Amino acid sequence: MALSGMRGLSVFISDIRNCQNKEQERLRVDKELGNVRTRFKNEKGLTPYEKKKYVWKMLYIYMLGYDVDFGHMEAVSLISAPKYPEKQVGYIVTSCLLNENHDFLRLAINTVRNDIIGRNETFQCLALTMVGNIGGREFAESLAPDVQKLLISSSYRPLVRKKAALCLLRLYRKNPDVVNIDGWADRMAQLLDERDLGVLTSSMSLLVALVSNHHDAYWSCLPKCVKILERLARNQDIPQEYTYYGIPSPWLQVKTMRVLQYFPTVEDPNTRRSLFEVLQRILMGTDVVKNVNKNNASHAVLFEALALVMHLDAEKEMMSQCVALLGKFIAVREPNIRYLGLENMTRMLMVTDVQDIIKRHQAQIITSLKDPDVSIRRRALDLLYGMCDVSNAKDIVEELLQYLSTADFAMREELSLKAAILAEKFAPDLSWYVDVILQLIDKAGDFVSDDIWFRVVQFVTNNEDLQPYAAAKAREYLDKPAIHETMVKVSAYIIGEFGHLLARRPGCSPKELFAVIHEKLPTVSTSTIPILLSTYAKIFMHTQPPDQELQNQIWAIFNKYESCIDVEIQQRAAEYLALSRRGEALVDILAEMPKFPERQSALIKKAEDTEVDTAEQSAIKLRAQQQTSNALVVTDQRPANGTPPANHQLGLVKIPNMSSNADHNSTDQGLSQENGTLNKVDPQTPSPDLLGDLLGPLAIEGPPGTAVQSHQTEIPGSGGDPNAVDATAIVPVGEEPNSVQPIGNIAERFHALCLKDSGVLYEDPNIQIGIKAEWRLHQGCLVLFLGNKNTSPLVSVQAVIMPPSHFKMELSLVPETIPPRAQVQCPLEVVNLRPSRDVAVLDFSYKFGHNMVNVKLRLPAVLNKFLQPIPVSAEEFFPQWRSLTGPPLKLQEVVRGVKPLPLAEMANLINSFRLMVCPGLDPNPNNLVASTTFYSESTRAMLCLARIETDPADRTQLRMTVASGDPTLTFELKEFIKEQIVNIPVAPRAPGPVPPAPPVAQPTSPAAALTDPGALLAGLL
Amino acid sequence: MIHFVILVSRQGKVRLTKWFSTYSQKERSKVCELDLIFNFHKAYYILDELLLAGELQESSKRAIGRMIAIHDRFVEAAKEEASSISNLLAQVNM
Repeated sequence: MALSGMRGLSVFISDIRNCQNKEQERLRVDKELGNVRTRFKNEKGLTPYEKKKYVWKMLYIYMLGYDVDFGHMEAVSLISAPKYPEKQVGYIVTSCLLNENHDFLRLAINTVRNDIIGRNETFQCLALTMVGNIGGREFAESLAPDVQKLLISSSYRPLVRKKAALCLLRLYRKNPDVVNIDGWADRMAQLLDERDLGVLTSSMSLLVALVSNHHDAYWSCLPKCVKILERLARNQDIPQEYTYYGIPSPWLQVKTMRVLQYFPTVEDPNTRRSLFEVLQRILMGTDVVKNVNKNNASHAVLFEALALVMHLDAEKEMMSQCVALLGKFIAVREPNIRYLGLENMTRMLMVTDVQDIIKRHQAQIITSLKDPDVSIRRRALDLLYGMCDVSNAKDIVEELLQYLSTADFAMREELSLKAAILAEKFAPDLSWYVDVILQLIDKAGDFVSDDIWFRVVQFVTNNEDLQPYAAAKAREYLDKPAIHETMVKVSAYIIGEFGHLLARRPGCSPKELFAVIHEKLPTVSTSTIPILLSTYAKIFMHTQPPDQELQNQIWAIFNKYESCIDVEIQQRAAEYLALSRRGEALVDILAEMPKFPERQSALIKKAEDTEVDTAEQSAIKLRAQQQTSNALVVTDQRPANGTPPANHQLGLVKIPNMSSNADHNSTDQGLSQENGTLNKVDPQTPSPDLLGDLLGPLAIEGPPGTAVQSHQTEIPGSGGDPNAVDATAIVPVGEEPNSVQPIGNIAERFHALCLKDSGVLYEDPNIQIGIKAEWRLHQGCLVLFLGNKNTSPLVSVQAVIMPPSHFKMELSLVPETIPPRAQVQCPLEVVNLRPSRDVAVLDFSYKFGHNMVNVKLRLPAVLNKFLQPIPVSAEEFFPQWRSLTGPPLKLQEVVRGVKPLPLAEMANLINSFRLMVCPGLDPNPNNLVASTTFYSESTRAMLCLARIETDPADRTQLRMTVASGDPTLTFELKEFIKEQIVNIPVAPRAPGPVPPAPPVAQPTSPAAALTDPGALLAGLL
Repeated sequence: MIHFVILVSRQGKVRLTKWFSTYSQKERSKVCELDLIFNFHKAYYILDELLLAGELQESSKRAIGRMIAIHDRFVEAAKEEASSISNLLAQVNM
């Protein structure tokens, strides 16, 4: 069929298609371009039809891959044509030929805007489509309000509004400021009530983008999303045309579930229940069928549902249902489905508690490791790697080893690295670990990176029990006829260090050891020879009494290599020769290597670095970051045999420098450095528990270089006056303009921590500061947990405590750098000198990238932490209460604007301040009496009593009486309680409706009035 | 439903194939690549109805069909107008 009436264009396309070769095509195109150019030059003579035709030709030429650098103006000018066909061509060609920064677009903005706000809906559609396709910053600024109006106005038809939604999405992506969150969130929620599924799908795409930036503004959309999902899952009111192979709009389902994953949780129990019902329905209703398209659609929905289930931390039952479903998937014939099943199982691993259920499918997963499809094999490897733990490590690692000999080369390196890591992480015993690594080297030596064998050397060196075993194993491998060079290196090293431990075994005399190693010398490369030379020197040193024949042999070798062209070999040969003639000194210098300092496995580091993010889901990513590695840590025992690490001054001579020629430049390979230059090890490593870890036994690399001393500066006048009555004692914090936004509300976190002893004090995308506190009498110990959430280190970390005058505080060293994903503990000692409500402030700063982040955080070392609740009986209470007469020891105040709480909850609140509510003491059931002991250095233990008289008719006010033996304490405690129970900010209340003395607070029985001096006093007032 | 693939041929040419095969079966007897090449402007138009800003705009075949029908009507109407006598005269005069 010819192009609707445009013969010239059809002819041109036919001509191009008939070209025999590229050259002909180019000639034809050039001819046409010249033609178009001359016609455009003489624009006056062009009818709209001709103009349209030439612009189409330009677009066709552009599609063929030729540069079209003219005629843009003609294309843009067609936009302003009054008739639909020309306008349409103008819009389409403009959106194809011009990009968002093209100057000509500016010329069209006015026309585009007129079309958008005009009443012709076909023109509106054309304009919105072009803006949605090009949508630059300038468009965003000038058109966004109009587009928003179209979207929310119900007077426009769906065909306009769905385009408006996506157009706005495009503009929002270019410039997020075009959407004003405050007003827009409600509008967005209204949009979700839309019945038309086209508009709903487009709006949902917009919502995904909005929510991914500011989920907290869009809470009102959450229940509506669940409603939409319900509607779709139940297939209620879904037009036939929106079902795809019987599935109600899978696109909308996926997008809606994606939106839900951006909310941290679904709190409302009803919404949550409905959502889980929907998810349950999706899980139950999905199966593998014959039709590929149906599978694609239903699986897309299913996998999004799985992601949501994981995000919501569903009950275990649902999780196991998910795993069971995936188990079905990984066993089907269709490779795509197997792949997806394995991939999603790997994602499931991030969720706690499902590991055991996944383990049931271990056999099937291992089968997948032999799948003909390499991408499935990779997924299976990832999954096995992820699901491995102490219980199945032996099975899985042995499977991997077995598979290693048949695996294709592309996978071997990854495979061996993973096997090595698993062996290290989950070794049930260390000899097994050594076995695995040696097998690994034996089977796939070419793919075993140096890191792997360095690590095994570290282990053997640091674990004395392992040394004879490792030496015997190494000896066994040396007997094999052809072994990999890496095996030669590791065996030679181990035999050199620990060969003497085998002395009494057959075939292990120094001479025999030397012979078996020396046999390999002709086969190895220059990088291995230095290791062999060191081994010879060590064997020679261990030969007691000296063996003349062996000595001659070894000296002959040294002599020979003394003139070697390789400088490393030459130096070693020369030095060993000179040393071995010195007799006694040799024994000292060549003594066993000291133990290696504790540090994170370089292998795991390497694996972490190469990890690629496949999952887009934010929640899953977050969880992955929180996962801890259980890597074995090279134990840092002090050498028992009296060779202190201080030996390191002996430098190079002592160390068989096996890699100085290659690895010294690489700073990231921590291991090679350790092996090469031990003198970097600082014997003054701070004790490891200082760097302990809340999350798990993750070793932290290296000691911090320098640390910031806590500044003990007393700040005079910073609220030091205990009689400062006003509420400004609360230090304003966190108001500095930081580019890094904190996660969660700092003030809320602080208030929560005032009432409990552990929790998060501060969090932002880079760091989390947790607190764990212990209080004993007037002393306390707060531990700050500084956790780096990133994969790169946080530097210039500084923590300075600004204590108020009533505290003596001492912060231990804070390291300047927090390594990636590590957590650092900094204990802070607190001594309470006097009662005061002033709080200490932590001035914390760090540098991430080029950003300096600084926050000032109040520390939850508040008055009530030094309280110790004690129960008192009526006999104890009343004499005390009476003996404390009036101000300043007993203070009373009517408090208004109290958080309205039922009496029982008020009692709980008071209890949570560590004041013990003693029921039954006060004859009036609306009153609470509480007692506690306060500890400080000046007051020692001081009994405090409090009475709170509530008004059942008006819960927002109460009268409070506080008494203690210390006037400051009484005042401070009263103010503290007041602060805690008052709603902040206090709403300014008109004095009119509140009577000056609440009548209900009056003691009802005269007897009580007599026993209560406070009440008497109140009566007098 | 929608069957289309965006292909890049060996010459680096971008083209749409197999669009709307079911829809086309109703409307025409058969759609082949050639139709697409000669009607590439239509392909653009249909794609704009289907996707916008990189997101799915409409998944209903009927809704898109309606849009295309409207579009065709407008073009037809304009064509008739263009072939009217006054336009012919105008062209002759040039």
